[in-house]
Amino acid sequence: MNSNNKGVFRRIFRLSGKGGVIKLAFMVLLVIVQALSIAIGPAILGDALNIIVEGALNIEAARGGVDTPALIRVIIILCVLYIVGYLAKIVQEYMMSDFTANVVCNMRIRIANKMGRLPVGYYEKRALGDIMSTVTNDVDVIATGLQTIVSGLIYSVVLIVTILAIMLSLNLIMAGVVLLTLPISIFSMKGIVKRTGRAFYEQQVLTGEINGKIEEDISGFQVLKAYVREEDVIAEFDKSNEHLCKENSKSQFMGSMIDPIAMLIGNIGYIAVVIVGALLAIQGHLSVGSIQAFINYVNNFNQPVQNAAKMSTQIQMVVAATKRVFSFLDEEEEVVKDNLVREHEINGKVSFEDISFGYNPEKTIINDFSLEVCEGKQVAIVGPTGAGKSTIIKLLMRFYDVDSGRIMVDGMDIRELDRGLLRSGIGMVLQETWLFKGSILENIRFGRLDATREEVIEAAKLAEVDYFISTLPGGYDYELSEDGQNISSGQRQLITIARAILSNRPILILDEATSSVDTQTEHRIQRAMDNLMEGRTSFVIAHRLSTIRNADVILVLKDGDIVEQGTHSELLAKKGFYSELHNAQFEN
Amino acid sequence: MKLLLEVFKKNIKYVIPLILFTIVGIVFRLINTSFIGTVVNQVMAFTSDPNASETAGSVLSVIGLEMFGICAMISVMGIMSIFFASKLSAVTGRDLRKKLFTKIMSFSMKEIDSLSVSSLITLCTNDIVQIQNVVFIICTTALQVPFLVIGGITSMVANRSGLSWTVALASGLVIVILLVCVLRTLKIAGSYQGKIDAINSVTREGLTGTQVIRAFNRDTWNEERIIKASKEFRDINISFTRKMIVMEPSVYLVLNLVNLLATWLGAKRLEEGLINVGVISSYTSYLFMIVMGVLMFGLSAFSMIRMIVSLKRIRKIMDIEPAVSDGDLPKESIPERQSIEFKNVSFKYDEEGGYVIKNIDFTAECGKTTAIIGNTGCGKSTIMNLVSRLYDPDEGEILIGGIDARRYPVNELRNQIGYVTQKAVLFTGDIKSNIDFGTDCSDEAISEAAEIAQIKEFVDDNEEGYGYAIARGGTNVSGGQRQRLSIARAIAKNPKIYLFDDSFSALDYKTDAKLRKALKEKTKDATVLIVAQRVTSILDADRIIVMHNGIIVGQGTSSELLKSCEYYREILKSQVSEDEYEKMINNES
Repeated sequence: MNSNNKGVFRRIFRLSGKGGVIKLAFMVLLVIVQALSIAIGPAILGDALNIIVEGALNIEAARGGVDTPALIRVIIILCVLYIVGYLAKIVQEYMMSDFTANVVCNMRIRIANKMGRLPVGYYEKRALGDIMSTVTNDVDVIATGLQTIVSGLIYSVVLIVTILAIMLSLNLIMAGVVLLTLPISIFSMKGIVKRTGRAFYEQQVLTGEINGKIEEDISGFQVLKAYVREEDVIAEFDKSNEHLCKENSKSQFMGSMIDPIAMLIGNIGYIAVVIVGALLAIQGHLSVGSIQAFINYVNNFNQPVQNAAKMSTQIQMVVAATKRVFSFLDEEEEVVKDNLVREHEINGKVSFEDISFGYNPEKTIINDFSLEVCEGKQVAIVGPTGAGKSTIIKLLMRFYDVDSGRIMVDGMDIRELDRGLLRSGIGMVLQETWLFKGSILENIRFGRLDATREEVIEAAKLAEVDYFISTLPGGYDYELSEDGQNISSGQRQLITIARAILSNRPILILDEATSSVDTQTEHRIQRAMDNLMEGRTSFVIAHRLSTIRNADVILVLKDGDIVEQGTHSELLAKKGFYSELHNAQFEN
Repeated sequence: MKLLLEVFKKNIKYVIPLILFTIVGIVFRLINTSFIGTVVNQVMAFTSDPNASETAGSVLSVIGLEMFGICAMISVMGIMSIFFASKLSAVTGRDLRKKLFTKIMSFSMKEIDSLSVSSLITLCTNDIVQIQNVVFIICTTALQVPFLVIGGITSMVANRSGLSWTVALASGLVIVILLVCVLRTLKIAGSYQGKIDAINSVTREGLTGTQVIRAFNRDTWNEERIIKASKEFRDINISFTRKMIVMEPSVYLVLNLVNLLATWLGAKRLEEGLINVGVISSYTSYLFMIVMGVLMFGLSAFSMIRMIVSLKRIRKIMDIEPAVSDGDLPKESIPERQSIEFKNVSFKYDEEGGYVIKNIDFTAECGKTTAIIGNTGCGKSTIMNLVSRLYDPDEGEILIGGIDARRYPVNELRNQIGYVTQKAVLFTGDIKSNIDFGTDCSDEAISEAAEIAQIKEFVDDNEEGYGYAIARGGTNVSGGQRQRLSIARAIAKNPKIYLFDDSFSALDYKTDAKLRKALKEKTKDATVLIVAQRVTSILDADRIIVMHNGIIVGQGTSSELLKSCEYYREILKSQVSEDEYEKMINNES
């Protein structure tokens, strides 16, 4: 284990919570007790056999029989030893399972906490499946690995050391014979373990690949079917599947080869012990019982060595998984300044002052954008895709920080404000609806956690979704499936609108909020929205120009610049880009 | 289980050598064990014979060589059986995965709707890995058990130690321990899996909802949800492992205590002159061999529980009959002109729910454009899905070119159709592979399709051109580009029927208008069915079908509908300004 790995394990232990070190120390103690009982056992059992052999020789020489009291004594000692070892093992395993479960639980809690503190940009850069795999699969690998590694490793080491000591005390030559097998063991194990590690890695990569393929194919099932692509897809799948099968079989074989090879080495030691032991016994340097003891020791000695070798594969996996988890935990967080303003009344006066921004330094999306919005005004933003409409919203929400210039909310630079405070002043509906597994009630209540059932229903009525909900079995208690897949996309949007209505914030953002809703329902919501937006500052992004006709100001964005600005009629009169966009809908 | 047997049968070339090598390996192991007794007796003989030292060396080296030979054989057999077991478990995984995936691909949308995407993925990967691992364990350990136990018992009886009953005692006790442990854990095994699912599900939601969670300042709420799930899992995990970890140490304790008992009894029998020391030595080996066999079997039984759960889950999928099946219409009989006719069609997505569309009657003629308009959830997309036979209607019939759609072989029918779905889906690859999408069309055809779909500019503007890489689901291009690419995909197919399901929603009006113009020329001989939200975009359609909550409330040209259909006027009114509305009404009259 190199120093890097040590650091990883130290961090794991830090996750074990209060008193973790003491518990760990106690566990180590128990492991030692248990290992000692296993180690001493054969020596004492050897004594028993010696007594019997002596007895046999006595009988042969007709000098009496087996020394029964001595035999009983040895057997009682052994009984006690076994039971002590057993209890130590059970208590230790109990503690270990608590320890592991706590470490993993705390790891998950850290991850959950971290999720809230990473900048939004992080999630846009990294593939969702990739992060998912870190916070679920990798944590699982750690959970299963930790349980066996910690106790297993200490156990093996203690066992090796104790057995070695006992063997040395019993007979130097014999101990030497057993020790000779050690270098062969280590040498051959090392080679296998290295190769196994590689094979396992390959296998994980391929599994991930095939996982991605299946996910993509099932997600795009409708299109695959419509274009009769099943055979191609299956053929492609077969290729990856065949490849995975090869790697599976290789890593499985490599991983398990350790057993027979270690057994062979163990057996070589065993034969050496028997032969050398017999020779020594004949010369009278060794008792038959000691041979038996050594036979047991050879096995007991090789087992921990084998186990340690096997475990090193597992350690590699745990270390790799832990590193991924920790690198997630170490990701740079949203910058939090010290003396942030935590109390500030947000009324909805927003101004953008010469802001510029680009997701990467080479490409500026927003150029010197300036705009002043008074309290209660409705601002609409239109323009072709990629013009930077959503970017402006993201800057206002402080998902990203501006490169230059500043955004002021009620006279305060938003970078001086606590993010939570800023965001709790803004209600938002996005085109991509996000609903979670839970009842419709809970999903709407997400907008304001302390809202009563009546308030939720009121908000749903305003969003024109109350009737639909009442037709569902269970009404507001109807359980939505993951991603809300069990209702139509228009209905999902209406629920998120109800959520925003309920949240009752001074600033409202609607980013293509009704794109999947039919125009009549939209019209009805519009009325509700108009009421809602009354007295609130709102930002509306829409393709359907009909929805923004009443906006106080319409901004026409093109390539990050405001090219036009004014009310609907002003812009139409201008006969510029906006009127082109507008008239395009009547061209045919 | 039947599934597994089928796979084994198919891969019998791995099964037979596996069994052979296992048996031979065990024979060698038994020989090896009986040797211990021989050696001990030999040593005893030498010790009691003062003149033995001279001969001892040569005798012992012969024994040593013999033992080495046997041990080497054991390991070689071991490696061979591991080799075949690895192969067998890997091909088992491969074959099951293939079966499952092929089955999933044979489903219609109806089946896919009823299964969640994430559960299917779990099945194809996690569950199969589970089965694969257990197959390996069974092949390498459980398979030995019967031979090991039989061999052990036979040798032990032959050994005549008179102690065989203690082995039976030990085995009995071990079996009881195993049973108790298995039964105790079995009770919570089910909820254990459920808690893992719960954690994964809240974590996934926390990740997919980052923006919304931030926007509502609900990070703490999200954190607490995950913490709650994690803690619940921790608790069940602890009680699960606690129940399980008792097993192994208890088995060893029994083993050791029985061994002591046997040593004591052996000593007594020795005194009576019934057995010699070698027998006692061998006894221990046999005892461990047999009882360990039982233990191994128990452990495999443990893992088999999970395997059977997984197999059952797979079986459930394999047993689903796809709702849409091939018709027997011969390829030559497929008509050249493909009009679409709905005759009194009704459909519902699930048995308990209500009808999504009811008594739908309309005809979309060849060479004409037919548009469908209506409120959210009125069944517009459903009609599209029925035409392409992603579902079959519950009542009524759909005639394609005058022939019932159900009579077509599914794929032949779909080959006639270019379907642009409501959600634009792209696949990992590049622009070319996404437009071509299995049709093997020429570069010119692709370029033409891109031009019509107004995506050519984007293609020409980037350096890689058609080789521009598309990420999974097309996340690296904008919504508008995704839509245009999926339109290009339909055009490149050069189909007889075009289905556009609200396919222009992410386009600004200008691009939209240009696209439609270009499309019109291309599709003049085809049957075109368009679902739209904006009335203005379908004003010139040859026929407009107005739907409301699953039924048709009006059909005809726009001017006809303006006169006859109140609902159509309402929709129009909601979309254009009053002036424009007045203008249109006046134009008609």
